[in-house]
Amino acid sequence: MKEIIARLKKDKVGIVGVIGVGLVLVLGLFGPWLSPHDSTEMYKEHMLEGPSATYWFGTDEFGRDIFSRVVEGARVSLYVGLISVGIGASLGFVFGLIAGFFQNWIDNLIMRIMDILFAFPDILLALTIVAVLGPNLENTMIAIGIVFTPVFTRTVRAAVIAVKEMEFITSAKAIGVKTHKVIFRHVSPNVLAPFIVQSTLALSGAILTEAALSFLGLGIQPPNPSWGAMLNESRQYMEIAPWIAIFPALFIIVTIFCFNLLGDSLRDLLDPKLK
Amino acid sequence: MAPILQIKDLQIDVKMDEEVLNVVKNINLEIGKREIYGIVGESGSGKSLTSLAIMGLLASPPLQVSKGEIFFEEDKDLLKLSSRELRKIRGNKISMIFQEPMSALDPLFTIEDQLMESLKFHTKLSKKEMKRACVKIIEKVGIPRPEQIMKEYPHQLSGGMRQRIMIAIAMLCNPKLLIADEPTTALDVTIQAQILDLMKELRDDFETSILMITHDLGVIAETCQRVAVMYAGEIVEETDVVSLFHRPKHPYTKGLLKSMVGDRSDALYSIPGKVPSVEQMPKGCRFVTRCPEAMDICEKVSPDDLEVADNHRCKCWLYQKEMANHV
Amino acid sequence: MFAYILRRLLMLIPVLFGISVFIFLIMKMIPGDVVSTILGTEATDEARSQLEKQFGLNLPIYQQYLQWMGGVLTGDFGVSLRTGKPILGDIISRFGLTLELTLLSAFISWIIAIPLGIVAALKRNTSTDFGVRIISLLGVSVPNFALATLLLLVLSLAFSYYPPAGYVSLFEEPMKNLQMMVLPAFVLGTAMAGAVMRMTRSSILEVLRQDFIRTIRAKGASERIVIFNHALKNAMIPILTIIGMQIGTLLGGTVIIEQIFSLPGLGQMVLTAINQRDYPVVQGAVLFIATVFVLINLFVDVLYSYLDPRITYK
Ligand SMILES: Nc1ncnc2c1ncn2[C@@H]1O[C@H](COP(=O)(O)OP(=O)(O)OP(=O)(O)O)[C@@H](O)[C@H]1O
Ligand SMILES: [Mg+2]
Repeated sequence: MKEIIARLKKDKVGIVGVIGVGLVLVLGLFGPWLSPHDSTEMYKEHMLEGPSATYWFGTDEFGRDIFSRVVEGARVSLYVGLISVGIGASLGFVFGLIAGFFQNWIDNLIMRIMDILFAFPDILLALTIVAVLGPNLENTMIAIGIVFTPVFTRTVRAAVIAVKEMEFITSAKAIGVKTHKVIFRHVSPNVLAPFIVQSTLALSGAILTEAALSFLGLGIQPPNPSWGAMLNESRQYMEIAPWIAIFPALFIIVTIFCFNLLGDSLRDLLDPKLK
Repeated sequence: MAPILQIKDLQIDVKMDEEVLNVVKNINLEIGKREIYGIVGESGSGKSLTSLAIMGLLASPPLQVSKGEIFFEEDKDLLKLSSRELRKIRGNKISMIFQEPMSALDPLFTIEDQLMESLKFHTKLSKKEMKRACVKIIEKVGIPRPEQIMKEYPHQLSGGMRQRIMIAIAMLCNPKLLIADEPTTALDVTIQAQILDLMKELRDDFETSILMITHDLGVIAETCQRVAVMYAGEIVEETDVVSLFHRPKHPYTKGLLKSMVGDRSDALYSIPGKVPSVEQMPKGCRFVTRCPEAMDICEKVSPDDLEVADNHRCKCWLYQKEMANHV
Repeated sequence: MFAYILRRLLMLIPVLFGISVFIFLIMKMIPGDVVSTILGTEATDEARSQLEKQFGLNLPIYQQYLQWMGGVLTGDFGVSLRTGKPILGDIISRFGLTLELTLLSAFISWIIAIPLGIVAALKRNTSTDFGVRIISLLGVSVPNFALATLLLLVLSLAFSYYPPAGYVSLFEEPMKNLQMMVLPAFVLGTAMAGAVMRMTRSSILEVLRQDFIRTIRAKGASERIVIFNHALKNAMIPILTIIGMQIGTLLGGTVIIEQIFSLPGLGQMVLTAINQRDYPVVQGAVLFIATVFVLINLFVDVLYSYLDPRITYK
């Protein structure tokens, strides 16, 4: 671990990623204290105003402060991202461990189900699930969590199988350590590296999917701010008030970019083979 | 007789993050026409790097030739040629076969494609003539039913077959010099003997000189006229095969020979210790860490490469005692 | 070869079966029933049961599935709740546009990604390589809807350019059609380009490390031949895998992009149907898209084995 941190220090791209992700986290966590206005408050006499000292990023068509909404949007994005990756990763971890360790009919069953989930384009799957469950925050997170389950399952399963082939597992079994103990004592730590990398990348994927769903009107519902929804609403007015499109777009892009930078560096660090 | 290849004071360095480390140094040797010249040494002694340097195929960066000359056919210094001129020689007048026949052929092309490629680079033959040349060379390397083999892919052939194909590719343009980097290491013993016989035969038919690289003294004994023994990037002893086996000078060579014959009564002898890594190269003689006859001087100063008998060079303080006393 | 394809097609049957069951079940989980959606909550019981019968909703669930599947297999996807028109006809007439958009995007992404990936590999660890890495990460990171919105914004503000309205098909007016498609295809293609670029770079590097590359150089090949005849062909195998996976992203992306650019494709159809709660249409269209995705992946697999002689057709 120390060595990894030391190497990460040398990796400038990784540092930019860490800083960017850190800033987004700060925005998400301390948003309410950072934003000068309430994100849903409408200042009727200040509709579609450009950036100014009071309204740093300008206001939207209802006179709401865009900066505050963007900050609030960061919170929503992170929240949705973390919870849905949490769902996907937990499901994937359990399924992957089971499938990889037993490699029998259970494995077969789990992997075929994952194949089926894989057969849907991500957005389409999320869209369909949300459409069925009804568009709101919780269902968005569930839908995205399900979308990301197969990736985690496959990653974990592959890692488990690779680890199982290693000698120390065989010897642990040979000296009579119980199967489940073997799994948790030995396999889990070794699965961790690919799992962490996958999680970082999935986080950016989840944030992106949420933004896309909200953009399509099927994710976070108004008046709650979501970057995707803000961007969608902006399209009507963007020619006369470009700022209402530019700021949310910029925040989505930078956030996902930083997560990807971080994930990418982590992958290089933890799995030099892929470099 | 004029040599076909002459290496003078060759030195190869590897550029690490910040520092430049030496991997091969003070290589001097001459290969005559029709001669089979051996280089022998443990794994990591720099045999492959030396041969790749001749071909101009060192992976640079990080590897680079930092000093020396390599004369081919007396006057051409290979190290000074442009990459275009070098390409004309590569695969044509000098060709090379590698240690690993299993991975040395492109898996996506048929044997025919891979043979023809060489001819396309170096000749202006028509397609038909090329094909005829390919068939002929495949027969020459002892593969029956050449027409059929040409249509196959590498993964369909055995290791021995692939090595024969490699030799065929190498011999296709009738080279003056063939560099064989451990051509038989990956093969089992009977195939090994066949391949070595084939190479000797080709040497006679094509009048090709061969640089035979190996870590197996048996291969040397069977094929070579002259031998250089390499250790940790340097030639420590160089002489004809008979002298090497009967009157070895360098303690390392003696160790190698001892580990080769090994009395039946006890376990096979092996030289204690390991080749020092590039980062921890001793300041004086590079063999000092493992030498049974090491003296004080050996740790401090590197010995010269001196002629210790007729046509017999050795790089060891044991034969430079008068000088050692002066230092 | 033919037998191999046939066998792969047969192997698809269980997957497609699973997909259809999944879609069917998920549609059954919709809260509130279709009948009240159509008739409203104040309908008489008689009208309700009549409609239920018409849709086969009074049958046990497995029979409902069999009925639906039987229809699908004979080319009857049912009718739209809104328009009453057969669903399959609509799907097919819209599929052309989506397919064109997908292929065009894929094409655009390759002509950007593969050359840049090669350059990055050849100039590994230089500033060029670094630049390509950043570009590819940007490509992956910029959501297509954000890129589309910003592009439209810039084009309209700076160049007063608006994409032509009123869709025409490729066969009616090819030039106008291409004009309309280039922008959406570019937007979709960039996301895929990022991943393909990275894969190209890493697989070229991987191939260049292999022993056989040294053999080819030892034959006297020029770098051009080494790269284009051998390295690229070998690298193509992993690149193809990524391309197959990315096609899914493209197909999904069409849902958003068709919406933004007002293109009447399959994606727009799904979205409209979801918004209108026209579930038979959603069910049919999603099944269709998933099937296309699976078939494209099969095609990529076949291409794969065509490229690589080591894969046997047994
Ligand atoms: N690209 C490189 N970077 C750093 N060091 C290298 C590189 N290539 C080779 N070396 C070092 O140079 C030394 C000589 O390598 P070389 O491949 O010539 O050995 P060899 O005698 O051919 O061994 P073998 O019998 O295993 O083939 C080795 O110690 C190796 O560590
Ligand atoms: Mg070697």
